[in-house]
Amino acid sequence: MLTIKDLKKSFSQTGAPLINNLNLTVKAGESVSIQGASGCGKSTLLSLIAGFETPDGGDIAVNGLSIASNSKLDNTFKARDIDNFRKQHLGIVFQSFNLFDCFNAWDNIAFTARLKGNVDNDYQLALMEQLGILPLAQKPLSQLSGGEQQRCAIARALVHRPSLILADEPTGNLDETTSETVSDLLFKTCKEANTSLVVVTHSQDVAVKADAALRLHKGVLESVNCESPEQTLSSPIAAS
Amino acid sequence: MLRTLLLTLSSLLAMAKQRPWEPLLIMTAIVLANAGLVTVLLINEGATQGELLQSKQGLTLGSIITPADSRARFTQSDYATLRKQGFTQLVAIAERNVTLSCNGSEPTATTLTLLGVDTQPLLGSTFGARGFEAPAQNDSAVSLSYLSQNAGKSSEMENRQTSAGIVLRSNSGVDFAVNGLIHPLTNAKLTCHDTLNEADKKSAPSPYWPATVSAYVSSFAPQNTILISIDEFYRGGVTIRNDKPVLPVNLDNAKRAQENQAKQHKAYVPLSGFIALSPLSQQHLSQIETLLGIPVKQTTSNTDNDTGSLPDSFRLNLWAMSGLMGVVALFIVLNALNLMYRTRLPNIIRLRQLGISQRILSVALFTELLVYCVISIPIGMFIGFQAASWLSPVINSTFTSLFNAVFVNPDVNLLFTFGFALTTTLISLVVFSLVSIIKLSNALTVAPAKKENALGQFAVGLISLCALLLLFIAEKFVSSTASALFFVALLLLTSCALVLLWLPTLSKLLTRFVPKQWPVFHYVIANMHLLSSKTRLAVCAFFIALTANIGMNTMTDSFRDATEQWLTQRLYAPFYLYTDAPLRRIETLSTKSLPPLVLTPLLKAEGAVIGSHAQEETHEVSNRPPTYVSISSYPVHQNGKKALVLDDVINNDLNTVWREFTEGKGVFINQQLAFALNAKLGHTLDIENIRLRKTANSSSSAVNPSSEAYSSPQEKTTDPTQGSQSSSSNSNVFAATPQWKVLGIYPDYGNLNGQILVPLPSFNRNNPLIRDQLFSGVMAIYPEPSIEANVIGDNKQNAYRKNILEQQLKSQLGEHRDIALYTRQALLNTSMQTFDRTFILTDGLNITTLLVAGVAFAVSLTVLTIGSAAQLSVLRALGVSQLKVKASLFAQYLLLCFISALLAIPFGVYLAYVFIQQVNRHAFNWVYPLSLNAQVILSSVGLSLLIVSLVLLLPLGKLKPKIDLRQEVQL
Repeated sequence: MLTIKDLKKSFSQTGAPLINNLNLTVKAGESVSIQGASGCGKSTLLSLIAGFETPDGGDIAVNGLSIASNSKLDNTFKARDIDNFRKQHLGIVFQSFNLFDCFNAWDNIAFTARLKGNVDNDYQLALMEQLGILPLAQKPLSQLSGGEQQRCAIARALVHRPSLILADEPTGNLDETTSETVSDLLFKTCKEANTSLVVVTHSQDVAVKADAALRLHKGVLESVNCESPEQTLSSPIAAS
Repeated sequence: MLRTLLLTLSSLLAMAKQRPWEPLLIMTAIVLANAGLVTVLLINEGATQGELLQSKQGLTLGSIITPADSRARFTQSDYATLRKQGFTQLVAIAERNVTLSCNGSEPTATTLTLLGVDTQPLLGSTFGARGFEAPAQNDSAVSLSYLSQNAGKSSEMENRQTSAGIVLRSNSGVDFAVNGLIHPLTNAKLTCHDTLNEADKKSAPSPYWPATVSAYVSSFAPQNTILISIDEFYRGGVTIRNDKPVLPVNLDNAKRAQENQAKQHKAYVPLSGFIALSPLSQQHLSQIETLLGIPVKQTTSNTDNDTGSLPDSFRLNLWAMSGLMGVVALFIVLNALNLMYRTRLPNIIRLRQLGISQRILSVALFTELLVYCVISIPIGMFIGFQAASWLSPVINSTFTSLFNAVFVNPDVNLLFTFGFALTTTLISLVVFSLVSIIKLSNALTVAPAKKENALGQFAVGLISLCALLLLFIAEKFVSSTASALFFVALLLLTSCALVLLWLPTLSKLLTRFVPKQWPVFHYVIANMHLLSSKTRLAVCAFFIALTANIGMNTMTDSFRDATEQWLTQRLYAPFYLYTDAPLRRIETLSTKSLPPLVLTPLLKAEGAVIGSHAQEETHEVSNRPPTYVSISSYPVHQNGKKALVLDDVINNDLNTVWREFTEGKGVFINQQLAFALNAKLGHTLDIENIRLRKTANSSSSAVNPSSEAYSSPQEKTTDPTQGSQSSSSNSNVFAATPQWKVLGIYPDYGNLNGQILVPLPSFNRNNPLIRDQLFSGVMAIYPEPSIEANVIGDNKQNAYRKNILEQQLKSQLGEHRDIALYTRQALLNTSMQTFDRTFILTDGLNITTLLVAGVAFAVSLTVLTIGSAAQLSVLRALGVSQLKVKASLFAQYLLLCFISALLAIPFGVYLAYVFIQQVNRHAFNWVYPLSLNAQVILSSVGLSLLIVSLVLLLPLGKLKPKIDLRQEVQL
């Protein structure tokens, strides 16, 4: 479960607030899509959740483990701990897939599980089967299409059974049809794996597939259909 | 069009500014390549100029007229008489020895010849003839100054002329100052190198001359001489004691003698001789004899054989290393270019999309390259000049002590050097980068996609076998130095191609064996496989440098081993005496004062081999020019037999061969001569024109009575076989045309010339003068068999005996003699030290090349790392710690180096074999066994890996891959 409380982040150069007292709660198996204008802070929000950047204020907690506030206030939570947190609890899906060109599809997907040390070949096979990429397992990346690569990236993000998946424009580099298929698979597999999902996207079609479709505007999250975030999710989401 | 070109160029430079490390790497490689090129160019030029200067005798190049009777002297009056009679080509000279020290340093008691010359006629003849006008003043000091100023113009090989010159001071203090000229080589030698006799020379007698000479460096002066005006020569109140002046010719004319009485002192001032600026005919000499009333002789300095001994090995070594550095640098530049163009590809495509033609783009890319060259070459030249200047003392010392040659600071044309460097660099780059640039310019041209056809292991193995087979076949066709060097290049290129074939295969193979449970390490190995194709050229540069390093080190080590073993065996006596004492004097010692010790002199002569044929063959006149050889004596006692090192003997029967040798039925020849003549065991060598070795005044004397030249008239009556103990008159050194059977071939490392070992008794001759001239100045001293064990067995006793012996020798031969007594071990140590010193420079260049390759390799990889920052960022995003990323990268690069190093070992060893068996064989006519030393090979590999590791530490330390969700990983 992801919990964000009173998160603050300003532009480092101008000091203008980018994220201002943002609140969000996503329970296990639930998904949230975040839309917004370019430069409104969507990717920054994901970076803060992933621990790539440190917030100016507020708290981010995954499964009760507070990352952001600890990283600032508690010296014991160091860079190594954040690395470890990502390895254990986080799965990331990038817009440009970011697979390793030195590996084939199977090894790319298995990488995160091997990193975490919980390799489960049956689970990986099932995931790949579910995503329709099992026949591509031994193929080098150069022989895979964009959609196939993104499906591999989704499998890589899920294979080590993380608590939370962050997806930054997962369909940004794909055509409409492929985008539809990939986003369906992303939401479906996350749901089945009981993993929380936060998707940043410009695509309305993708956004509506999430349990809650939110928009980042002036540093705060608001519901796309003007309902309160609490109403869009089965569990309460605080967004302000 | 020009506007478009400028716009394109500015765009390219803007791209360079954006990623400055890429052009910086290119420029660094160009700087290093040019620094190496200029250094080698300067060193070789210095060696060449030194060689030419050594062969040039300057003022004394012509003939010298002296009284035939060595006790007689010319006088100033004689000189005046001759000039009045029209002998204006004669120039009076007076000479004596002076002991000097370098200014500001410890007195080194260097004895030079002070040569006083009448400068007036020189200005009228030599310099006038060369287009210089004589100064208006007649003052000799002014004339000499003029001489020194113009001497540089008169000689093509003139060394740098300093305005202040070198200040030389006699040991006795300073009474007055004069100007003088000093030969560049003498100037170079005055840096006071360690010589074997240095310690003894400190106590040498000192004929002082109370003056300070401001000596200008000029090749016009003869070597080992300070040239001054004759007036200055006599200014110090010089008189030559115990020499009565020869009376003028017209002594019977009393009146005239009386009139000249006041000038008698001046007239009787003795002169050493006259330099004839143009050779005098026999008729002229007779005329002089009539005028002066005394017999005279004309000595023409023979400079044919005095061309120095510039070590070709040294030069070859330098050019080989420079070539190697050039190739390495070329690979580095190309690798950097490829990397730079790879990252620029998107921008280049944009330029093409905006309508910039392929031609303009190519021209702009070449212009950009030219800009880098123009910036880098002067920097490289500067570093090269600095390096050459820094290395000069080492080279000079090596040249002087080892090769008896001299190295001078070269005088080169800066503009020419720059032009040469620029042309060489640019042509090489343009030729080799053509493919990359055209490829880049074609960025928008749609070409059919090529199917990726990776070669299977079987194909790789088959190609490798074929390549190696072709290489071995090519080796059989090596028949000259040029073809041997060509083969070295072929070997390096073939090995490079094989490495490019094998590196991906090996890394792929390695990927299979790495446990996947170590994901980061697995990634490292798998990524290395990809990297191997992107860093091909850098790997090649590193591989070539390391292969050459292993090859050179193994060759040097083999040479060292062979030399040490050879020397250990050849130095059979416990003591060796180096002396300038005459042989007859030393030989009396063995019968008088040193009875327990046996003395064996080393006698030497020179000769020419005019033919080599099997004994059964009829003697035919060969069209081949004579091969000049050194003929050395070899003792015929048992110690000599023990010390004999032979590569090959007839029937492999050493005892029979030794017996025949001691009976004078044959000789041993060195490898150099055997290779040069293609002489085989049992062949007969026809020798002629055996001459005594050169004496101090460079004249040679024939020992062969049938020869036209004689050392002295009384030699004409000498019986050729007199004193010989050999059974055959033709085997004697003094026979008219000796014919010597080759009994064995021996190694003779370090000697560039042919040599024949002849049994010592074949040199026997009753004439003490000839024996003295045959004596090389080296004497082996060893105990008689009965006490041998006592002397050799105990080092302490050996040292003790050395001191006693040295004292005895000094007391017997006289304190003024040059005596240096060495124990066998000391001589061995000195020889090996000299050996090691010879290879200092090679080692330095070797390590530099490795360093350059290592740095380039590391920098290339660093540039690649920066390029693959996105992948590293993904690793970080997936939870791999910073330290782990750095460590994995470090391991990755080191592994790539390690695989290259593993592949370099077999090729390095093969290269060493080729150096020894082909390059040495054809360049120097000697070979030696290849000895493989694991320590040497591992140290080369270890050093290369250490260099790469150290160089990698800095960029890796600074590496902080920033995690960016939007960063793209390019496949």
